[in-house]
Amino acid sequence: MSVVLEDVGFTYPGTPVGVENISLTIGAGEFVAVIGPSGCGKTTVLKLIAGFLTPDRGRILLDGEDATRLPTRRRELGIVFQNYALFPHMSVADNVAYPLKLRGVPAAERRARALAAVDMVGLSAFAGRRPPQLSGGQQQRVALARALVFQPKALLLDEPLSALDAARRVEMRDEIRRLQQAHGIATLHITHDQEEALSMADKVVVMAQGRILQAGTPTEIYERPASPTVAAFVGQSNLWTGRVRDERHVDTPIGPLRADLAGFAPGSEVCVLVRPERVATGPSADGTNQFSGSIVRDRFLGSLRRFDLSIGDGTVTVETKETSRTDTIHIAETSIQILPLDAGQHPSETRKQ
Amino acid sequence: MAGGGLAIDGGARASALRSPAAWVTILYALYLILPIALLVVGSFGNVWSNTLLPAGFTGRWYVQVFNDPSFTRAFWTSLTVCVATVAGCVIIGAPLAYAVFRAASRGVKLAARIVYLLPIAAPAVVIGFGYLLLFSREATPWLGATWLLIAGHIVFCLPYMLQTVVSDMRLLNLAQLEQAAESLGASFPRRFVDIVLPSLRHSLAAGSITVAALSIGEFQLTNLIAGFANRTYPIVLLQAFYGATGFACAATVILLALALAASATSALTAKGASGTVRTAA
Repeated sequence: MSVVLEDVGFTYPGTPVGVENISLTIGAGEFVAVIGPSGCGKTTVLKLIAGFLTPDRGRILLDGEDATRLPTRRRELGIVFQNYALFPHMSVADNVAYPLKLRGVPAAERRARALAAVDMVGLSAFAGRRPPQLSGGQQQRVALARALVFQPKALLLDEPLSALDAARRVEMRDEIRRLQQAHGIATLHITHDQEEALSMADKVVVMAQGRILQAGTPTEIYERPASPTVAAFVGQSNLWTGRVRDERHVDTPIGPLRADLAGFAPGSEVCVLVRPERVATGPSADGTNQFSGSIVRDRFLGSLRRFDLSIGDGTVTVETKETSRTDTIHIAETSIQILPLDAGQHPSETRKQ
Repeated sequence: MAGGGLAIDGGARASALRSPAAWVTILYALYLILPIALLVVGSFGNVWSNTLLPAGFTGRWYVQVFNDPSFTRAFWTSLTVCVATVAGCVIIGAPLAYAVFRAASRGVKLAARIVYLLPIAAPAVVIGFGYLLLFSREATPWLGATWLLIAGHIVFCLPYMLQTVVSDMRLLNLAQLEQAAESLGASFPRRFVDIVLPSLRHSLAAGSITVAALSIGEFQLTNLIAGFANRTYPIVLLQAFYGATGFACAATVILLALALAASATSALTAKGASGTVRTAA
């Protein structure tokens, strides 16, 4: 039970908008999250897999078989929509039983299976209700039960949590992951919430402007971003444009940094990435990469404090568990990553607060 | 404290009555209701000439209307035309609304807008004269046929049905409900019967009320294309005003009752019919 996209391309008729060179594998039981800013093409990818759109180029394989031009209703995919798309004139149980009814399952059996699926998402008490009588979170659970009850080949989730309030959202992350693992089903999850993607997925795919920028485990994406755009989109980051001085030094807006610049030509421009939690407070042992400045913003986040320090012509964002104020920080060499600049893009434009 | 609360309430009510909006509303409501109330009073009044209100109570005007064959025949003609028009508008309107809703191309959308707006924008008299010209020829001698009358009413009423149903489709996000059904394995005919029609039961009912009311009261078009044998109630009613005031009032009150009953019945029927299409698990 796998989904494979081979070099898929699609352009919306009459526009330059679409996706290009999309190659992606969702293995059996694997949970893949696609993230990117709105308009990056992530929903287009879902629609192509679902069959709501047909690729102009490339192939889509379901379970190893070419499904590029297969109609949606023969693809056997469970889809959960952002706005739930429950049938308002049917009860919860009837909604969940509907795919079984379409498959000719006898009435008694489909009722039993539907009720079991409703029970699985913890809504037994609501089986007889109509969707408009349920809360957003409850409706989303019904949508999940309906998408899973007919044992589809894969599960496609189209921003399923974006219509929920913050508290519900975190709860539903665990619920979706639990159901996905219980069914061992290949899952594609579309989201614009990078934290959601990192916390739920086995594999994260970052998209921008219709292309895949990077695909990898959440740790890989976070620890070793391939480009400043990925670094900026995933997690908090300090991104500075630097000029390489020599193999050991780079000049940045906050001052010269000691770092490993092997492979970068002296005089060339690079992007310097330091994650805020990798910035250490207080002076360093030998004064290397040690800076002092003035605090321009200070945010209390409960378990953490995040503050911005104005140093030289730049700003350093720091995350720390310490509660005492400090205006001196240092950055270990191992905490610094040097990335090539994105073509035509200045890192300050991609910097995310 | 309760007394204080009441005093404040009373003050609020008094100030509400001082607002110009309240007075406009009250005056307008009187303006709407007064003629109808006068009709009802007049229909039960024995004698009514040159006085503010009629004198004496009687039911004889109603008896006279019921005993007049031209009125009873017109009553049944109106009812038949109304029922057929509502049925026609539902049967044609549901698929047509769906086609308009799903139409992707701009050309189709423009054509749909014309279909929508033309019968509303063009005076019924214009449509009626068109029918007069078209259906009084040797090859098409159908003027005066009841089915033609029904067809005319459908053309006149359909835009109102379409408007109601299409806006409901947008509101329900029907396109996504269909995508969901499709992903669950439903073919187009299954989706249409299982999802589309039952989802639209409320707007089909609402549209039917409008259509029934329009069809019962339609005068301009009907006056031009109805034959002598199938004149509808409003056409016959016009003659009543040449006779006794009480008789005219009673005949008009019956039309009002007929319109209200037709609207209520068609709404319930449309809702019930699309509801039974729904399939239970």
